[in-house]
Order: sequence, then structure tokens, then C-alpha cells
Amino acid sequence: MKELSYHILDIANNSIRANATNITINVSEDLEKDTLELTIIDNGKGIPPQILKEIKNPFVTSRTTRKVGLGIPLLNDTCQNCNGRLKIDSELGKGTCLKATMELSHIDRPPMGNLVSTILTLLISHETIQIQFSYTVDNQSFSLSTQMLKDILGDIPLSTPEISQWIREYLSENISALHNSE
Amino acid sequence: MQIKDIISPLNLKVVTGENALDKTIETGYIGDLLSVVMGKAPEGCVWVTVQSHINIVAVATLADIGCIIVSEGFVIDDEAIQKAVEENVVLLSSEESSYAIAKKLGQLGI
Repeated sequence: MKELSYHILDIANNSIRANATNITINVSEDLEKDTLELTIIDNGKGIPPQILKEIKNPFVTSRTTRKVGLGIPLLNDTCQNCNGRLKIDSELGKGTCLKATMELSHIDRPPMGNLVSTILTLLISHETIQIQFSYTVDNQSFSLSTQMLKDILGDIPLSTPEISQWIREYLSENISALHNSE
Repeated sequence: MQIKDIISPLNLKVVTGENALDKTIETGYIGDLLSVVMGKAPEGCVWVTVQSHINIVAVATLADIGCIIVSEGFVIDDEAIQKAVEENVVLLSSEESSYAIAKKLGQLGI
């Protein structure tokens, strides 16, 4: 996966397959510490301990033995190549918390890619799942959630073209504002 | 051999650096992990990679790479193109795999 946004989509899809009804996605850049952190927390069914132990090993990755693909081993490689690490905590019946860190300015760090489309896709294709997205750059933060949108829009589906176009622009403007105020 | 001599035999698209195609290239290098490319790519080489973001331009500048061929038809980021124009880095692109490109470069004597 050439871009981090693909990893975010992949991990969020794992959460969806794990029947999560709540998914929190946070991207956080700390310019002083030079770190980039992706955090994805869900309330899905959790990962059994014996699978969790082997989750970063690509050779136990067949879908017949577990529910996730090669995404985790690849993300783990990316974190390690960029002087970071991948940490996954999970409890059966409660959910999973995945935290990927990497050095922000590391030459091998993949670009973020099209995060706006990724988040938009997640929001509009899974309207029954509560998705909370936030992006933090140092002490400035921006967030958007399914609940915030539903509060404003009521029963109008998020996939209505005008609405999804508005969400796209809103995400895009606010994420670039975080980077321009540095 | 000059960069312009590989353009039509390999059916490459010139993305940036049109005015620098007379640069001499003597050898090639293939790699996608930029930290490795940075340490290993020989000066003045043609570098073939699937990476297509701005860091490839930084690597090419720092390691004095002759030109970059982005393989597999990957679309090069606008940011990378802009930076390549500023730094006068020759960016080429191809639909073929890095392996197929390397074979053709070999046949041309690189």
C-alpha cells in the first residue's frame, strides 16, 4: 500500500467486518516530536488472544484462519521502516485499539494520500456505523462524526450527492487549514 | 548514452525536465525503499521505481540521480511534479514493470 490512507481504509474495514458499531479514527502529527500517529479504535468483537499474538506475522494470514488480510503485516513493516511501531490491543467482546506511529519526516514514510476520499467513503457507505474522525496537528484539531452530520441533517442520507460533495469540501478545507496555520 | 536515447525505445513519457534530456546516463538502479536507494543508487544513474510522491525528487537531488522512471503506470503526485520542475529533475513514466524496463535498458547497453 503506497499511501497511508489505504491503510486507514483497510483497518477500518477490519473493524466493520468485526461488526463494530463505533469506529474512531485519529490522525495526529506532532511537528516538534516529529511523529505521525494513526489511531483506530472500534467496539467490534475483538481479536482472540492467540490470533493477536501472531497478527503481525504474514504467514498466518490466510483468511481461512483469521479475519484480516495482509494489511496488518504491511502496516507493521511501514512503521518499523520509519522508526515507529504498530501496537494493537484487543479484548474479546469489547473491541480493538490500533496505534501506528512513525517518524513524520522519515524518508520512507508513505504520503497520506487521499484521506478526504477515504473518510468520505467510510462515512457514506456505512451510515449505520458511528464514525468519529479527527485530525490533529500539534495542538490544533479538527473533527467530524456521523453523529454531528446526523444532528444537522436529520434523515437526509449522507450519500445524497449535494451532501457528500459538501462533506468532501468540508473535510478538505479543514485538513488543509490545519497545515496552513503552522 | 543520453537520457533522450532511451525515451523512444522504452516508449517513455517525459513528465518533467524536457530541457535536460542530454544528460549522460551510464548505469541503472531499481528500488522502492527510498532510504536504500539514497545510500546505494550510483551517481548519474537511471532509477526505476514504483514510488511516485515528492520524496523521490528529494532522493534524486541528494543522490545525484540522472533521471527517474516511475513504472507500472503509477500517476505521479502533482507536488512531486512541481518540485521536479523547480529542481530540474527529469521525471519519466512508463506503463511497464520495473523488470521489463530494466531488461530493455540492459539491451540498450546500460
